[in-house]
Amino acid sequence: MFRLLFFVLAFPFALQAQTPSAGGDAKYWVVLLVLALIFAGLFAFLFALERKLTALERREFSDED
Amino acid sequence: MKTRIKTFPFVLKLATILLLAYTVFAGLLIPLGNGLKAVSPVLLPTGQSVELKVYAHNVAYTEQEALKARLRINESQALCVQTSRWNAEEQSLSLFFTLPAGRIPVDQTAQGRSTKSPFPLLEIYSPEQGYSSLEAAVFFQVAQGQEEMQADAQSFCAAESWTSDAKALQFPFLNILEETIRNLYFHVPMWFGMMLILLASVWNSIKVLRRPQERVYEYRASSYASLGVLFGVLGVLTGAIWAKNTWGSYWSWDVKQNTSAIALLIYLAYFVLRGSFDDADKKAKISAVYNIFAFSTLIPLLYVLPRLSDSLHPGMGGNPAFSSYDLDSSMRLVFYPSILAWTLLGFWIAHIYMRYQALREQVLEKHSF
Repeated sequence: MFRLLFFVLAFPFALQAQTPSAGGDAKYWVVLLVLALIFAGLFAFLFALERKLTALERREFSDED
Repeated sequence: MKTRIKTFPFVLKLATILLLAYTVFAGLLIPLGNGLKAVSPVLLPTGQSVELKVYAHNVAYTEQEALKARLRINESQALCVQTSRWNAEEQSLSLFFTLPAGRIPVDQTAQGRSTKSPFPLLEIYSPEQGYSSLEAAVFFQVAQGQEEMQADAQSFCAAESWTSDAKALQFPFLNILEETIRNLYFHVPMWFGMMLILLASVWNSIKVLRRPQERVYEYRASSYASLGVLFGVLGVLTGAIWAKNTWGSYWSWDVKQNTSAIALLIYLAYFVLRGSFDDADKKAKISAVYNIFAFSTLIPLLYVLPRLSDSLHPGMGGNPAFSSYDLDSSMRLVFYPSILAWTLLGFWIAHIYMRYQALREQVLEKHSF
């Protein structure tokens, strides 16, 4: 799981160093879109993980009460 | 013992998302200011007319512009350009100078922490593009037989100040760095985030030693250490990518790169140590002690040793640091929020990991009977 996170976080940086300056270059917008998608995916993943953990915690910790 | 970790506050999650989105969009959308990258030829023979080709970033000088250019040789004197021409095909500006015969008195005094004099300073100003300069742009080659002769002072023009009108928000153009300066918002915050997260880890390790019966400190210490190391690895990776683009290779055996790698290896040993214990209490206490030791090695490795040696890295060995003059107000607008964004992201992921550890231990305890 954390190896996947590592890959997700590391990949944009390889693209970032090659980004051209702002101004009508289409490559620039593609890089930005890719980064936005990666980070959106990361946050969706984190929220989904938290939901799963919450459900499991409710089950495991409430059984003890 | 049952230990349930509370969820990471929603307001901090929202702040993380917004700040990270701001960092990525502003960091990549705000354009660089114009700047001069290189000139050709670098060696100019005195006593004749020369054509100096100038290659610039983010500019396109047109024929209609009232362009001014000069080669400043000291604070008060310069060689002013005769004519100029924009070469649209190769995107270069040709400047035509008539250099006087003899030795040109270039001021070679080094300024402050710089290791070389900025003169001859090539300066270009246009109403549309603004002001750009290139330090130590050229060398003057004195013809044979003229070495003892001083150039005629009448050939120089006065070097009055050229000021540029305030432009829209833009990042500074720096030679060699160019567009890679945007990596400042990824590489440096990784290290800031790492230090803050590892500080939280060592704080919790101290709590483990003081209150070993409370498992929450053990979960926090190990989770924060994991994310701290992850951020450190990302910091090394982003630094290597930056080094490839500016220093020429991914790993230059620079002292900062070496000591960062050593620091990370010391922290990786923390996880090896934890894995070697089956008993949870022993694991918690001994790894807490090691964590304190590992954190204490970070300070000399990352902040002391690199400054004692020559280094290519900004802030070390005589190189100007980003904070001294490169980090102007336009970059601070994105840099400070980016530190907060990456640090919060690290704490958020660590928090999830912490909850996973607590849940895992709870399930193992429950199902072991």
